[in-house]
Amino acid sequence: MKAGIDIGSRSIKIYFEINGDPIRKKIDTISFFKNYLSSDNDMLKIENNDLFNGYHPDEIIATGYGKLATNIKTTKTISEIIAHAVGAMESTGEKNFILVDIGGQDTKVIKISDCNVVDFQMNNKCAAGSGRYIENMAQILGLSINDISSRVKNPIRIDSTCTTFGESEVLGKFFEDNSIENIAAGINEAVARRLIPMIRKYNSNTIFVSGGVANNSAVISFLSTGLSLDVKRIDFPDFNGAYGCYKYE
Amino acid sequence: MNRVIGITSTIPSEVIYAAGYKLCDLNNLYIKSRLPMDYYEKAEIAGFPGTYCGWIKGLYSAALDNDIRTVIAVTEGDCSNTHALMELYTYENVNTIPFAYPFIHDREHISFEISSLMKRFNVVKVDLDIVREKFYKIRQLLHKFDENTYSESKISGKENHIWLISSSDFNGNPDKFYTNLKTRINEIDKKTSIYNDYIRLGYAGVPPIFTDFYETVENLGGHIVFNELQRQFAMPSYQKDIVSQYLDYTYPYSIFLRIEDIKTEIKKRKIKGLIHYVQSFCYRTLEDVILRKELNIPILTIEGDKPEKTGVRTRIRIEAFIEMLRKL
Ligand code: SF4
Repeated sequence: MKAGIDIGSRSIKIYFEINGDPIRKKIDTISFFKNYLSSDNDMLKIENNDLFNGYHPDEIIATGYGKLATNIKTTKTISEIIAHAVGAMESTGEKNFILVDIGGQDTKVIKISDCNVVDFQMNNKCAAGSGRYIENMAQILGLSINDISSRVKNPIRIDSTCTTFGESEVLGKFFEDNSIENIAAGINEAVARRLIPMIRKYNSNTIFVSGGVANNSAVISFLSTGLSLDVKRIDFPDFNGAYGCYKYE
Repeated sequence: MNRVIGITSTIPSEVIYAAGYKLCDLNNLYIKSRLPMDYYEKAEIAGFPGTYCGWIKGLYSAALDNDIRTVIAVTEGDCSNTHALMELYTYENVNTIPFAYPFIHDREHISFEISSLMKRFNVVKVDLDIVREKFYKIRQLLHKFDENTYSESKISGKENHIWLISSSDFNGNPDKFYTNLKTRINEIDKKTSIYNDYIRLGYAGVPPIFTDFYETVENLGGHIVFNELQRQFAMPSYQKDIVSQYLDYTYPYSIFLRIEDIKTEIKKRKIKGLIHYVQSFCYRTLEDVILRKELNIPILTIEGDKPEKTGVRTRIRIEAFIEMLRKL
């Protein structure tokens, strides 16, 4: 049995199949490290096998920010870029496209030509415009992630997608008497606007979005409008990396 | 004058050695020190802003901390920050001598600069030629070493980087440098190839400020077989006269000269991908735009700020880049 695991900064995503049925699990990163891994010579090992519904996978392929911190037996690690590219190719059946992965802490734009990753962009240090940014802004506005992700109408122009400094701009808009709904739309638009030049760098009309933020339909809609293209969401977008690991050969 | 003269970048070192002085490249003094971060922080304590090039910070502290009393500063062709750095040195009673690689890339201008330097150090042509002859031998050996790096897969990217970069001052002792290099080449000759299964990479841009950059790339399966500017520091084209030599040296002139050089080497060295390093807050970062358009090869641009280990995010990107190249 094989399993794919994406050890992200905010959550761990696991994908495996039992009798051909897909199983997807999402666990908060901190509780994963606390509950499923034990510290042994500074290395961490999986000790709790209910993670895989009682099965013992003989092959685990891992990716993600935290993959180097884990020493899971029989694990092979692959880079996030490759994991996401494979996941997207497998789930869409496409061979030439741009994949935009918007995760908790980073954003990747990957160009795939003839089933090969030929270039990618990935933020170096800062988490601007990532899932974390949207979460922080939602918190300030007292909205849930679901509330925020449906807001597309009358976006207020927001320039900073910095996870920390974005806060003062959003508060400023609030004090200027803008409605929370319009500010929320502005936040979604700002995330999309930041991505557009990265996507435009590559000439392609087929764009897919993966990662947790792909569930935000407003961001997808702003991307589509901004690029004048039909930007599509990958099925189970937050599991794309784990699925790519599972499918990796 | 103290017999050791600091430099902020490669200068016509023949002139200084012909005058009987020793050179000390402050970049090497900084980054090879036991705790380069201390130098970085000292500059910040002195008032350098956080948003300022980490190399300049280190150059400043390294000169002051090691009692370097005279510094030849490259005021044109290297870094615009050097002007202010010179003023700071002057303020700290460090004697500064400017040297410029002229923006106008022609014989007349560079010849004027070299003659001024010779005059400043009372060097006559016969003495200069003796030193040139000696340096020519060392540089030939360096080129052999560099060639072996890409033709034999025995020399690490790091070792290539260190030998080439040290040619700006020959570690203050050209004779010893020559002997050591010769010994090392003989040692390596007896080794077997190590890097056959690695992905062949090139490195362009100013030297990395990360303290473990080359090890990181190697651990991820990359073999750097071309260090662009480091190779330039070793003056790869031998010319009959000193003026032509410093005209052919691509680093201080336009990006287009560098691109020609990079293109030739990519082909010759069978490089699969290029890592372009840019320093935070450095004007050269903009040149990335042209490099990407002109070079028909996958490029990964990475950015460094402080003399510290390669961060996790940069590591992830290098890893993905090497994996991508492996599959291409
Ligand atoms: S890295 Fe750039 S800014 Fe820093 S010293 Fe070099 S040229 Fe100047």
